[in-house]
Amino acid sequence: MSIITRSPFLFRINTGSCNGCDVELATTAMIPRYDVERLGCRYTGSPKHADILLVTGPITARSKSYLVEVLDELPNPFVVVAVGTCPTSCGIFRDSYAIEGPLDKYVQVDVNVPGCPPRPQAIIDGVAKALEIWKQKIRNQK
Amino acid sequence: MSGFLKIAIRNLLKGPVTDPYPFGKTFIPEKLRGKLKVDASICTACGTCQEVCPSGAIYIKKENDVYVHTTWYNTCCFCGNCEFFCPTGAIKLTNDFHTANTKEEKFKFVTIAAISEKECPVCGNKFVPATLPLIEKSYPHINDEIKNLMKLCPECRKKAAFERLYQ
Amino acid sequence: MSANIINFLIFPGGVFAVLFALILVSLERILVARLQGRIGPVFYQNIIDIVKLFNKETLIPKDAKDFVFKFAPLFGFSGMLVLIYFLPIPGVYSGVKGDYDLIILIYFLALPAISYIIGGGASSSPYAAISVSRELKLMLAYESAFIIIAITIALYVGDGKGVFSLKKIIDYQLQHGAFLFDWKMWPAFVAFLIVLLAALEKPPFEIAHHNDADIMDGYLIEYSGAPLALFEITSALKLLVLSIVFQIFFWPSTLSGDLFINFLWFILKTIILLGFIGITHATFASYRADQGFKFLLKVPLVLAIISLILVLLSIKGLI
Repeated sequence: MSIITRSPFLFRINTGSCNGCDVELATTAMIPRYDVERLGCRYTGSPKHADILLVTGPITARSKSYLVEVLDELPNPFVVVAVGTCPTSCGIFRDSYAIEGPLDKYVQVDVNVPGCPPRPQAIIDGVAKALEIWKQKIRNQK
Repeated sequence: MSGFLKIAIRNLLKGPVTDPYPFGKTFIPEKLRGKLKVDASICTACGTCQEVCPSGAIYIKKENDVYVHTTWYNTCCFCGNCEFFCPTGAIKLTNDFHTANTKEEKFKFVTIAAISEKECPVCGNKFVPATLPLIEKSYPHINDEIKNLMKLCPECRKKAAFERLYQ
Repeated sequence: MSANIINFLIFPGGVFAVLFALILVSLERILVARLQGRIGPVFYQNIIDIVKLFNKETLIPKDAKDFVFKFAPLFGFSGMLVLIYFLPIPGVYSGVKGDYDLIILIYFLALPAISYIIGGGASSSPYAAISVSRELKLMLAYESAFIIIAITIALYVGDGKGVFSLKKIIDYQLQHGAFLFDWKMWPAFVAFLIVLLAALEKPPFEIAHHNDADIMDGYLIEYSGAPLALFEITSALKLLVLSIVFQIFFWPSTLSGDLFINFLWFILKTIILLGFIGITHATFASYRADQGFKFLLKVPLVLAIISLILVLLSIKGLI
């Protein structure tokens, strides 16, 4: 059964991010230099296909409801990765009236990848750690 | 389209250029702003870094005789303000980018530096002495007298300075 | 077990077809990755994906038509399985003999698209609704060209009288040379390649599906778990079926009487077609929906009609 952890489907949601982390995420997947497809990853267009949820942005008041909706739609077992400092702890936006974060208010965050933005290699590290946790979750489910 | 085709065929012939990162080495720039390193022997626990940090990642707390300088990376935005404003040059950003951490490690993912107080040789009070890099910035020529004064606590230093004036 | 059951369940249908089709899809992913300068996944990546999807939880939306939503994937999947059992593979497998199997092929090839339409329609998502309407238009656009190509071939083989037996089409080409090397069929061949890309929804026709920036995952948006896996297998099998159809229509040549060598030759021909699909995938961007439909209604249809006219003229003896 450990073979199935080699096919994680990724879904990313931007909760009011400045797009820095989104660019890095797109970079890790798209460009030849940091290819995540060799780990078996694939970006999907729907949270219902996803195994690993990548969240960027500090969860603004406007985007909160969409985030909660996406979290409801994820099939079990799933792993949540907070990419960037913003979803991890809200970082420099921590005291703003428009911020409803951090992410662990809404869901158990399994891996944090701080950085503003994190390096692509750090994101790959985060995905690799998420895979380990996902393996554990599958074992616990059985 | 023919341009794309040319590039695609060239890529196919040249082979992949993918970084072997999780399984191999990767390129790290020299000046990458990663985790910080605090040199506790130079730091004077002045609190400038705590003041200038935009994300509130640095926290200095006094415990008994020791100032504990804590940096929590999960809120750090790696802007480098602490390095820029540090009067002594004790804080340096390294190019270590490994920031991914699990939820158990979330609040343990810190760098801790302990700056211990020293005892004044005259009165016995505890204080954090100014360090040599800081003094080098303010005085062009450092002689033994200045070095001796450095070891005294602020009160004793005042006394010593006045005594020198009256003599 | 009788030979029919083996043919349906193990070779060339059933287990072999599913595994081979999934490996083909993975190979296409690897080829696209290599053309972009990346490493790409392993060659059995899609098999792992399918195994994983069968192990995942299946979510059913509150507003969806429960029964239709669950069983729509089976519709296309079973259609494709039957079609692979049914189609002859030149030199390898003789297929189910019938005089009108070309018409049955045209009917069955529409089944995956219909199952996407039924499933997407039952899932009650606005994205799926848009995607279903696009899929429907796309299907109308490419099916008309495909039917004209099929009629052209039927008329050419029967010398004026329509021959709708795939066996006879293969035999004719084995005697008179493949249609791939016949200049009268070249416009139809180009039209068939365009129709192939549209039917598989690869770029430049990635309009209704996997179009993340536009309508997310289209009709698959509400699917998860086992039904999604069935849909993935269906689209993989569609690739295999279309490559077999390509070989029947245009390139049924065999190397020798030996079954094994013919089988390797069949795989090689499939991979050549896959190379074409991979190169277009890597070099073309996707059309906007309206541009795609306009292109599909103009170019392949006109090319197929040109071929039809050439064939009719040659039957009359004018060229």
